[in-house]
Amino acid sequence: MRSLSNEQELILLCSRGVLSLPQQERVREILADNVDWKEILFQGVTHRILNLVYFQVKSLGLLDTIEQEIRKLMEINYKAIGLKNRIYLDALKDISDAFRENGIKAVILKGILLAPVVYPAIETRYFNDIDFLVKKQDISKLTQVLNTLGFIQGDYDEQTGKIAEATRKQKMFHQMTTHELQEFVKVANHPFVQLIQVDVNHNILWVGNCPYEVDNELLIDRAVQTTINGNIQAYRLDCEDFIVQLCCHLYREATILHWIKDLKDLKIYKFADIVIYLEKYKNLMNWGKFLSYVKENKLEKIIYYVFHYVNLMYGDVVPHDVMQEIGIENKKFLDEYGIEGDIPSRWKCDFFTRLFDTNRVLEVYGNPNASKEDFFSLRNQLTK
Amino acid sequence: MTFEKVVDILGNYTKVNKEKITENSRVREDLMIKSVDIVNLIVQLEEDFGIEIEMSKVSQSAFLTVKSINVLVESLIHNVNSSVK
Repeated sequence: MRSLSNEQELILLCSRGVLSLPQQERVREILADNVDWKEILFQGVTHRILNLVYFQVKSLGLLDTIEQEIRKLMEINYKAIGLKNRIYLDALKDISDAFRENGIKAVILKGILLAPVVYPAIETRYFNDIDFLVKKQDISKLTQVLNTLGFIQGDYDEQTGKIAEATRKQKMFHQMTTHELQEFVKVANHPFVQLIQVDVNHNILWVGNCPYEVDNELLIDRAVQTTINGNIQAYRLDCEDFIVQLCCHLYREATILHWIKDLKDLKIYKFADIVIYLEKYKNLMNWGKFLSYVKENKLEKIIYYVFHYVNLMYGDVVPHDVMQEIGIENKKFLDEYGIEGDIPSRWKCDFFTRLFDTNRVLEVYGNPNASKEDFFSLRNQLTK
Repeated sequence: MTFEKVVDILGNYTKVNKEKITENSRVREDLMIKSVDIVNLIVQLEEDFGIEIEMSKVSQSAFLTVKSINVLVESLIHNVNSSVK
């Protein structure tokens, strides 16, 4: 395994919820040396964990190790993301209340739940939308409710600040070829938040040459009620299902060309989600139940992929016996991408090079499968 | 009757000879109809049969085979007729 630079090591050390004493000591050692803050800023921004770095450095009383101008920038960013996240939570409250009044069980996924509930502070997890998982039978009613709240299924034009509503054909195409509906968007008219976006998922996997199958309705049926931010009554996946969904999301985006081409594949925050969640709920996590579900649904490769890289980045977060129990022998798939094609491709560079070097995408552009017509060019044919 | 009409409509989107289209023909793999054309097919089914396919019914599984399309169309025709009566 290649050795990490001090800056890369600092990024990984700080992208977790709670630091052990040896980890705190190592952060102190690194920051006592000269570190390249432009590298930390770049990696922190591209991996959406700059605010976690700021939080951890501040918690350790080490803010004075950061050059003053950089520190000010980090502080402003920290506060701005906190403000943005709170505006999103206000929107979530309105939506959740309306869903409840209309008898819609919509399960909250990912960032908007993780930031206020799982992460150490609401400012430490960035997110750009409100994600729900719903049953297909609820789609029509849910659409009506969101329309009533002012949300439109369409595309936001940043230049004009206007939303172009998608055609019915585009909505059908989006729903049929992806795991979600066409995005619901609403202009927010706030200096930090131009837009509130709602993503409605009907599948935690992906559509199109997906060898896996999950009973999404079952996940929704056993979702549990929760209170977010003290005043939002909503549903979340149960403890073990939550990890299954995070893993499916990470694997999908790390291995499918569409996301790799957009540089959305290897983002540290998605791995941090898993680590912070597992460490926070280690006493609640029922590994036996989790493993039974994974095996019943034949999700071993997805789960092993994610846990393998989580352990590589963060040490033994997932217990060794769990990794053994997943029972993967042929590990060649760990370096594969383009899994939606008939024959996956293999990365030429190692994992940490891919993780920290955004030029990884150049390898993908040379891949003949990457030149296939993409989703948006096909969707744009359906303008009438 | 519905089946023949569905096959007729499918004929507009595939190069496969209509005589060779069976109930079990798979829309993508056997008839080679792409997602964009499945969307156009849905709209044509709605127009030609006078039905409306709700968004909750729009999924890959509903348009997996000729049989699954036929089942969906027949159920919607039945609903339209029941509401008229």
